[in-house]
Amino acid sequence: MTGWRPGWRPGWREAAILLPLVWLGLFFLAPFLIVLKISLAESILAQPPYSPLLVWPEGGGWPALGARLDNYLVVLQDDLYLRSLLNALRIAAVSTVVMLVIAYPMAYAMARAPRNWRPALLLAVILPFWTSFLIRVYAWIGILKDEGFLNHALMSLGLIDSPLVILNTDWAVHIGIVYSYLPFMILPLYATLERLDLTLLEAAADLGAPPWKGFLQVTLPMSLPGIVAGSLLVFIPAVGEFVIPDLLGGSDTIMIGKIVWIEFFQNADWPLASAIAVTMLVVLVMPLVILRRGLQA
Amino acid sequence: MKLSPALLVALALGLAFLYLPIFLLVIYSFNDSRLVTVWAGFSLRWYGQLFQDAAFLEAAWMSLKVAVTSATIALVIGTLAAYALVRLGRFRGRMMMIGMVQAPLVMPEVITGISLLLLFVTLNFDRGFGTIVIAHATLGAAYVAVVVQARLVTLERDLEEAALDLGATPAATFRQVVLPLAAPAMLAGWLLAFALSLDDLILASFVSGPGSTTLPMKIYSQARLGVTPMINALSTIVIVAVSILVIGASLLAKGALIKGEHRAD
Amino acid sequence: MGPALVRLEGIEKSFGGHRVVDRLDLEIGQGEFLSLLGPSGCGKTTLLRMIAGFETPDKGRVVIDGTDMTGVPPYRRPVNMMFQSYALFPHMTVRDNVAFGLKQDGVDRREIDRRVADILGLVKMGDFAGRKPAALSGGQRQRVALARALVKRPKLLLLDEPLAALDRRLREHTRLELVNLQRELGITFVIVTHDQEEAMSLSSRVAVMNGGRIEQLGPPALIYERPASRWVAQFVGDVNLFPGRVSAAQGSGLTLDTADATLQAEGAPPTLSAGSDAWLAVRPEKIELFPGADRPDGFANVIAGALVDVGYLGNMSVYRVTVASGATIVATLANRRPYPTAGLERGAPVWLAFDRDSGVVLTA
Repeated sequence: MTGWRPGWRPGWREAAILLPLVWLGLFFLAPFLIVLKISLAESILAQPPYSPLLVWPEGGGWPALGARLDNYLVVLQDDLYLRSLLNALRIAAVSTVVMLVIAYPMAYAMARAPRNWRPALLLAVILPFWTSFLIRVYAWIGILKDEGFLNHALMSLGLIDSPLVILNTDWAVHIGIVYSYLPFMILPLYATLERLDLTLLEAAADLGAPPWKGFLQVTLPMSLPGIVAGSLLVFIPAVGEFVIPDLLGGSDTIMIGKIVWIEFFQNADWPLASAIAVTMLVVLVMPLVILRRGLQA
Repeated sequence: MKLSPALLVALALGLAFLYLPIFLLVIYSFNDSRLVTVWAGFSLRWYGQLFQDAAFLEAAWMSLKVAVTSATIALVIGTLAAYALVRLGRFRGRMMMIGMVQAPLVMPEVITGISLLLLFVTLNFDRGFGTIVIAHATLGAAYVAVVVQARLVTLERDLEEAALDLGATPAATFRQVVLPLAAPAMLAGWLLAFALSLDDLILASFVSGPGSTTLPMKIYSQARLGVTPMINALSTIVIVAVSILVIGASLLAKGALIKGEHRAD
Repeated sequence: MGPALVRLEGIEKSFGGHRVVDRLDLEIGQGEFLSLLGPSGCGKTTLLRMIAGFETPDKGRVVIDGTDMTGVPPYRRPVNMMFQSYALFPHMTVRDNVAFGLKQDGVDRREIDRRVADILGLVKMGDFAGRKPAALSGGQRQRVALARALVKRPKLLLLDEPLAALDRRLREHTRLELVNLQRELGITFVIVTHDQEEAMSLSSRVAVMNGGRIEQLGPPALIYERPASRWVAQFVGDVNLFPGRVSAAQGSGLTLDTADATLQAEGAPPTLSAGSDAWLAVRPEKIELFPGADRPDGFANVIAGALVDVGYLGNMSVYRVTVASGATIVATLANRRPYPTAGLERGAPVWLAFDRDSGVVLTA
């Protein structure tokens, strides 16, 4: 491995490594440890609104550990949190699958399009991503509400008599997630499909396989890495989504991201919010880590 | 390469789906009426109203400042991290750096938001412009690292070795060979971090302080009250501005590519 | 060979537990053209990179021009390298590429311009100074890479598989150019190659490497005509090996009993005595072929066989002959007369014949 060798102009290599390491360590890693610490505390009326980790006794001596697992008990026992987590997982999963169904043909079409179309197609898919996420979600409010564009169009076409209630329901949240994250599903799929060696398909056809079989047995399995990458890229952030359920969902659409927000900002219960965050992290990240180790094996 | 009609239809429908809301937003920003269902004629009044709203203008300015600053910091950190991971071989903390550079990409923002806020509270940092910049820079660095890493990986090691062989120190090699060749990717990374910062709601909400309201925060608080055409107008401006930027950037990139492709034989 | 410019002493290098260079010693003389020849994985490229400074030996010393340069980074060595991929900086013009090294040294700008113009003229790329590498052909890029490596007047020039990427015609042309250039500039050249033709046609000395060690070191003719071992004999060119036992040894000549015939050989190592095992290595072009039933006269060694296959290559033909022991002997003959292979059939009886000094006796 080339690059630097120890002894060559010492200092540059170390600097290049240390700066990002320190920054990320301080502003990414350390905060998580703090979340963990605070999740073990108790919510109190003070600034900051949580009890300290180490309680120093009056007469001196060793500090006692002021850690309590109460918050975790609340999270695991109170129905609300479990429900909202499962809800979030469900909505994210359904949305991911719908996205896959929409994105795959699009990515496939892009991968097979004439070469000089592709940059334009890529641009067309990426452009919405660059325009504000918030704005695009907001746009759906105007479309899905009772007096919104969709209902207006459907009613003036005579397809329905009274407006469909879509806004402030789970349906709207699904639509919102699918819409917002779609480019993130298309791109990895496209990247994988584009690199696919079409001669393999030709070989399959040559050996007598009909096109649908060729697809099922050659294309689909070989595009699996793209499917997995796209799904993960979309599923995990979707579970923790806050903006979409808040703007498009109803009061009964509780997703875990919204719960964290409410506990933090409305109830000012930082320790509880931290505990929820940690639980969320464990539920989402653990399978990922295991999956990774499994893939590497 | 054959493109069956079915696939073409799927692609067209998908693209229509992607662009319909944007299209509607733009149209209705010019609607003289408040209502989405009635077209009352072409009007620019909402744009007028927008430019007179001091709160909005302030928030826009704040967002711009934050975006430029955090994107630049993100560029430095992300590029260094990418270079370290691709070129500097095995070093202590490499595994950790890989994790820290990839995690922000998939982490739900509420978690990063809450953790950063708790950090600032613990350290007694006053929350405002600085803390938002730190939050956005940290997230942006991860995206910059991905983009720059992808470019560096295709950069042949030979080029750096050739520079070293010809008498350039590692630092000089980085400056004269790696940086110029990675520059397009670095620019793309900067733009990505810039767009992310400009658009971010969650992190900003968690770590901002009094007087440091960003544009998304303002839009959000307004949007919760319902659809206002003023937001449509703002949205249209953002969409048009971003579209010009992105299309312009990609045309530039294409032009650069074509120039380098003249061959003699 | 002039005084030693480079001395490699006791070099050892391992990668991931695998020994790539194994206790190697080598001296490279001032002004010589040395080839490191060997199959892939033999350590030749690693050795080259250790001379350039991209790898540090685990053990041993690299001494360049009297100074111990083990561990000295490449940018401080009076050595320059021409990479197999040429490694031209794509974002710089030809002129800037060639000037790069001089710029690092802080040479005066006018001096840089002069020297760059000179070297570009020498490699006949003066008209392309303003172009970028993407606008050049493969051969042109190589010349620029060469100019860039030479403009700093290094004490030693390293070339990594210089002819590998070129087509046949260009290869011959470039070969001549390299040889002339080296002679004109007097710089020591060291090349790495797996192609024995490249090595033998370019260099004044060849180091044949295998498994991290130098199997044989010497001028091309020596390597080819007097290989030190069966491995070298088989790697450099084609060879027929006759295994046998020495039945008599007198002075430098000996008699070898093989399965097919009793062979007479010259130039054997004097330590070889009767009763030892040995091989006689004879190159295909040293063997004459006589079709027909009559035993040819005037040759010390004659073996009977049957023709298995003839390969007509235009300028020469390759004859494959099975002999009594079952082995296949290969003989190549120049097609001095038109249609020499006409009338030869598979299975036809033929005679193989060669002289006492046509082969070399090997014990390793």
